[in-house]
Amino acid sequence: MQETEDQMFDHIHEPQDPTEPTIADMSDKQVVAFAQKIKQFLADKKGSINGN
Amino acid sequence: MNVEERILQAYANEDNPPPPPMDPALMASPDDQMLQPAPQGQRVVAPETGGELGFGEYLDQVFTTIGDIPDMAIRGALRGLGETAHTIGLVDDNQITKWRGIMDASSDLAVQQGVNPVAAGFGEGVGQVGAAALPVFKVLRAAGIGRVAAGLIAEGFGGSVAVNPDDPNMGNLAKELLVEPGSNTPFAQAMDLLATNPDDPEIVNRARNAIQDAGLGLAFEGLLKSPDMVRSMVERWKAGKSPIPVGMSIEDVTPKTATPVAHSFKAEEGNPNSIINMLYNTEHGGFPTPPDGGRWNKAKLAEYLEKQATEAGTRIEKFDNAAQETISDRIANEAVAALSREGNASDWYNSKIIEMNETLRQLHPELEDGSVNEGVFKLGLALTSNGTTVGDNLKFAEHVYQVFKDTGKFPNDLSSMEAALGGFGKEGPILVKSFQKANVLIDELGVDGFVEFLNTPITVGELKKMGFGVSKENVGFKTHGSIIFGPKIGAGFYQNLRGNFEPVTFDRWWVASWGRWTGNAINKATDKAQAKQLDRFATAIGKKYDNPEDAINEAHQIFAEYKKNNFQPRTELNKAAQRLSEGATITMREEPGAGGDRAFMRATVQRAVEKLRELGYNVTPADLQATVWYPEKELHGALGIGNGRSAPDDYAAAARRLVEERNAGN
Repeated sequence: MQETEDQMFDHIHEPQDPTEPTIADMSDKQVVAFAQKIKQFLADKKGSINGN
Repeated sequence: MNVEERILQAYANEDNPPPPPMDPALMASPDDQMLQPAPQGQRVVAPETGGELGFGEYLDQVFTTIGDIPDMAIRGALRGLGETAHTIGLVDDNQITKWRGIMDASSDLAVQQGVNPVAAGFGEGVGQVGAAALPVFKVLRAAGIGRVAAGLIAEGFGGSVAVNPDDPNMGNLAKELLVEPGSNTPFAQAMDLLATNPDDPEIVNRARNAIQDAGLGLAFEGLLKSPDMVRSMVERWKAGKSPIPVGMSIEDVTPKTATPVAHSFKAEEGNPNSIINMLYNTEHGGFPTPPDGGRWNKAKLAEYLEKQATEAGTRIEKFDNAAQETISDRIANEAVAALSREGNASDWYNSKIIEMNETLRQLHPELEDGSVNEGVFKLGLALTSNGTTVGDNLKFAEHVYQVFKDTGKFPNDLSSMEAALGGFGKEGPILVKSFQKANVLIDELGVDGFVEFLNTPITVGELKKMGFGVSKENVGFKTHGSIIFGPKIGAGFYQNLRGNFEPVTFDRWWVASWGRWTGNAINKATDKAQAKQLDRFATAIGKKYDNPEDAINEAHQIFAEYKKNNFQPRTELNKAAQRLSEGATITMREEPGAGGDRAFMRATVQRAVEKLRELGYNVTPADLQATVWYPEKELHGALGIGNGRSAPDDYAAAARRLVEERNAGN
C-alpha cells in the first residue's frame, strides 16, 4: 500500500447493487406511513428502556 | 565431424585456461583495453590453445562464462541501444561503426578472459534484443496481451531494430556448428533461410532477425529471471563454493521472490488458491495463462480457482463448523500476510475516518462525533459515494451538507446539483430519489428523530412488519435503521462512517474472495434451480416454451435491456429474466446467497477476527474487510482483469485537500 496520494484519489467506490431494495423505491405515501411506524418503534424502544 | 566434436573444436580454438572471474577493479581501470575500440573491421582474436581442453580447464571456462553472464547482458543491452538508435536515425553510420568496434573489443576481451565465445555471443544477443524488447513487452502486457504473445512480438521487434542486420545470427551460428558442409537436410535448409547474408537487402536480414528473436520470445520470461539466479551462483563461486549447492538443482537456487511471504497457518502452504501462493510468492509475470491461452476474465478465473481447489482437495463442500474453522484460517492467514507488508496497519481503515472527522471540523466545527449534524453529513457522504472517487465523494458531501445547513433539507433537484458538482451519471436519478425520501422522513420525524433512527439497532423482521422489506437476509438479522438506504451504502458504509466498524459489506470483491477461499467461485444455476427459474420466467412473460433454450435466449435479451437501464423498472419479468439469464451463464460468483449464506459469512468473519486478535492483530470486521480487499484487487489487476485502478481510498487525505481548497477560497 505504497501508493501516492494521487493514486489513492483514483479509487472509485463500487456502486451498490441496484437491485437491492431501498427507501428510494417507495412512494411518498408509503414513506409517510413508514415514518409513523418508525415513530412508534422509537417510542416503544424508549419506553422499553425507561421501563427497565 | 559430429556435433560433439564441433563443439569441442570450438572450445579448443579458444584461450588458455581462464583466470577467475574478472576483477571489478580491473574493469573500472581507465587503462582497461575494454575502453579502446578495435581498429575498424578488425576484431581482437583470442590466442589459439592448439589442443583440446582438459576437464578442469573446461569447468573453469564454464564457471567463468557463468560469471560473465551479467556482463554479457550489459554488453548486449549496450549493443542493442546503439543499433536501435541507428535504426531510428538518432546516430549516423560513422557513429554506429565506432560503437560496434567498442562493443566488439569488449566482447573479445571477455573471450580472452576465458569466457566461452559461443555462450558470450548468445548471451549478448539476448541482452541486445532485450534492450529494445523489454519496453515493448511491458507496453503489450499493460495492454492486456498474453505473456507468451507479448514475448513473441516484443522479441521479434527487438530482433528487427536492435541488431545490426548484417551481423551473423543464430542461423549462421547453427550452420557453422551443426550443419555438415554441403548438407541439404530440412534443418540445413531452414538455417540457410534464417542466416543473415551481408549481400542481401537490409530489410531481408532484419526480417530474418525478427523471426529468430520471436522464437526467443518464448523464453523471454525465463531470461528476465536469470540475473537473480546468476547473481546467487556467482556469489557462491566467489566465496569459493560450488555455484550450485550439493544435492540441489539449478531450479533450487533460483530465487522465487526477494522475500517469500510466510504462512501463519501452516495448512495453507498447500492451498493453491491462497493469495500468498497466487500473488505474493509468484514472481512478477509468472502468473499462469488461461487454459484457452487467451486473456483472463472473471469467468475463466472462477473456473480456474474451482479447478485448483478441487484438484488440491481444498474445496469446501459442506458449510459446517469445521468449514468455518478452515475458511477463517484462510482469511486470517491472508490478513496477517497483507498486514505484514510494508505500509499496512491493522487500523488503517478506521484511523483514516477518525482523522477525516477531525479535519472536517476545521470547516464545520459543529460536526462533533455522535451529533445529529455529523449524521446528516455522513448520510450525504454515503449516498454520494456510489460510483465516485474519494475526492469527489467528499466534495459532493460537503456541498450537500452546505445545502442542508442553508435550507434544512437535502438537495432534491438533480439539475442544480449537477450544475454545482458535475454529472452523477446513471447514479443520479436514484441519488435524488434517496434525498427526496430522506426529506419526507425528516418532515415526519424531525431531523433528530431521523438521524436517531438511522443508528438504532433493528431486525429485518421488525423492519418487515413496519413495511420495509430487506432481501436475502434472515428475519432475525440485527442491523440498523440506516439499511433503508441499502445494504452497502446504508447498513455498511454509513455505519462505518459513524464509527461502527462491526458491519461487513458483502460486495462483489468480498464475494470474489469468498469464492477463492472456498473453491466455490462459479456462479451457475444447478439443473433444479434452472427449472425453477424457467417456470418463474415463463409465468412472468405469459408463454409456454417447448425448448428451454428459447426461453433463455429471450431472458438474455430482456436482462440486457434491464441492465442497460440500471436495473429499472424492477418488474417481476425483469427480475425473472435476470435470474434465468445469469443462472444460464458461467460467471464469477459476485453476490452472496440468501440469509443463511450471509449469516455463515458473518460468523466466519467474527472467527477470523478472533484468530487475528489471538495473533496480536487488533482488527475490527470492517478493518479486516479493507485488509483483504486490496490483495484481491491486486490479484485481478495482475491477471489483467479490470481497469487496474485499484488503490486504497483515503478520506483523511481527501479531507485535508478539501480544507486546503476551501482555505484558498475555492
